[in-house]
Amino acid sequence: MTTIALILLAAAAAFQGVFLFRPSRREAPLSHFLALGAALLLLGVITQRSLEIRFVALTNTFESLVFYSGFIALLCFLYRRQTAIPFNGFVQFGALMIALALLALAFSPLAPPAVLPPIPALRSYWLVIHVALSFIGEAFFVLAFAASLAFLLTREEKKRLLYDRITYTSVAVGYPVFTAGALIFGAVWAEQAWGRYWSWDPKETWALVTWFVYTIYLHVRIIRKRKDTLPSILSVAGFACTLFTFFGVNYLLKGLHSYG
Amino acid sequence: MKLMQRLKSVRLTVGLLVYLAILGGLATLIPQGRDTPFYEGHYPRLLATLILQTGFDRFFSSILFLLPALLFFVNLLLCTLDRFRRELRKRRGPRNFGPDILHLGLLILTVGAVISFSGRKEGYVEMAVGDKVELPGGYLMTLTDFTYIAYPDGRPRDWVSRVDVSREGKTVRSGREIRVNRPLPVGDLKIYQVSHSARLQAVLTDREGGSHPLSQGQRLKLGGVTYFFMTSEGEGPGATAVFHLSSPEGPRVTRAEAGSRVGDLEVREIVTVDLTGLEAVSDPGSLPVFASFIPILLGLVMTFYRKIRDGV
Repeated sequence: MTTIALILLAAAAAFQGVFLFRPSRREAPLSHFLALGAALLLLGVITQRSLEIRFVALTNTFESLVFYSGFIALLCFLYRRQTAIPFNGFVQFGALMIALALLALAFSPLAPPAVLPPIPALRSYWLVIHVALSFIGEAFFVLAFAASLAFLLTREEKKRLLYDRITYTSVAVGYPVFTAGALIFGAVWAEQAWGRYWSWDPKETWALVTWFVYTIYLHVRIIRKRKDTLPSILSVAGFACTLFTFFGVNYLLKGLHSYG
Repeated sequence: MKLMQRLKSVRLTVGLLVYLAILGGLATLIPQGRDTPFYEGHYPRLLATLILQTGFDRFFSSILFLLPALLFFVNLLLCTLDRFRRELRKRRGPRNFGPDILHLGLLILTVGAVISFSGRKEGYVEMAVGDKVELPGGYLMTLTDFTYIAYPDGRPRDWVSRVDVSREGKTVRSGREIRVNRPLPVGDLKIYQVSHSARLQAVLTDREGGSHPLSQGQRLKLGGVTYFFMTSEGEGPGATAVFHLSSPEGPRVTRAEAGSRVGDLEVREIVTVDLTGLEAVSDPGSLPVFASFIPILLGLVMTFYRKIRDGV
């Protein structure tokens, strides 16, 4: 199922990519349905593994990548279907490419796909809420990142205002979800599992650094003009922090979160 | 007045957050809490000196972190008071207290963190079934059972300690389980299941039939002889215990199987005893910290729901 989801995501990204070069239309007609198909398949992967281990399968790097990628794909579908903010093909393409890249990493040796039931510390529903909400929040940051990148690559003022709005709306949704998931429910789980709600473990610290960067973004946007590049640079930096929190900490630094 | 304006400025907030983000991130790249020779051995001399002199080896409890954190607290407090006052005075349009509630939550969180930092106490103990340990507050905890549950592939699934807790002779908790993720509250304490290990033990009996369990690395002084249980050779029923005996005749190393004598004692059995690792934690700051999560979540919802609804 993961392979089919990868193919669907690649097709969705390619389809959207091709339509970017058409001057008249920037929305690929089928791309978001392909993304939805991929999201449903990836949800199926998580469900199947959960049934096998009799626990919510969100306890290792492979499962995290599948969930993260699947939620970004779902978000791409929802972004296309909603009407509150204007749709933009570049943003959709960027987000789909990131979902594709994350899912491709699930096939790498960095993320062994073995279905293993969780160790005692991970057998907690606080952990499930913590991890799920963290990735859902970060999925919105992906959309913000794609919009910020588009902002930085264009000089058209009208487009810049649109990209700024997409970035801010995405951060406005992702920030509370990320705060609740990564920091608050993470602290609740840590207190239950280890007896301390905060340990200055590298993963915790980098989640906090990520939160600081998005907090700076929100405050800078209050004091700067919307055409200013600084908020977009901060949004890009925030996304880079989420990547380092996920991959950099796992593979470069030692800590309590060494399992995922 | 100018100082007050600066202390409550958003620019100061941003500056402090940038500082904390950069130095906090850097602190994860340099191992924390090691001894001086570690830094001298792993980093160029100048950098090692810089790390040690600035307290960067313990960044999160150093002045480099605590002073800006204190300044951030003051800035947040003044910003919150100022903003709250402005919202109260607002004549036109709807009032928005979301950010104030969120900031209030962060202030409570900071106070809780400071209380934890200064008042947190913890202690670790390894216990075998039957062992008793005194806890603060006059409690006596006895381990009545310990189970190590493994998956078919040998990986740990759960560790379950069962304990009785008494105080002044009265049982206050009987047969209560402590599992990973399910701590047991006892008074102001919480007891956590943190680890599992095994201990080699030789059970010795004297002429009167008295039992003397001796763990590997432990000493027993009896009748002018000191018995030191060094190790065991082999496993199972044929295992041989190795002792170091110190007596007035001089020291000697002797080996004994189960059923044979060592000095004036008899080795009844050589066994591996399962040990549970329990941690008792008292953290007076955890209550304000967890209480702060309510205004933080509420403030986040109020702030961002409104922004999204109004089409930011």
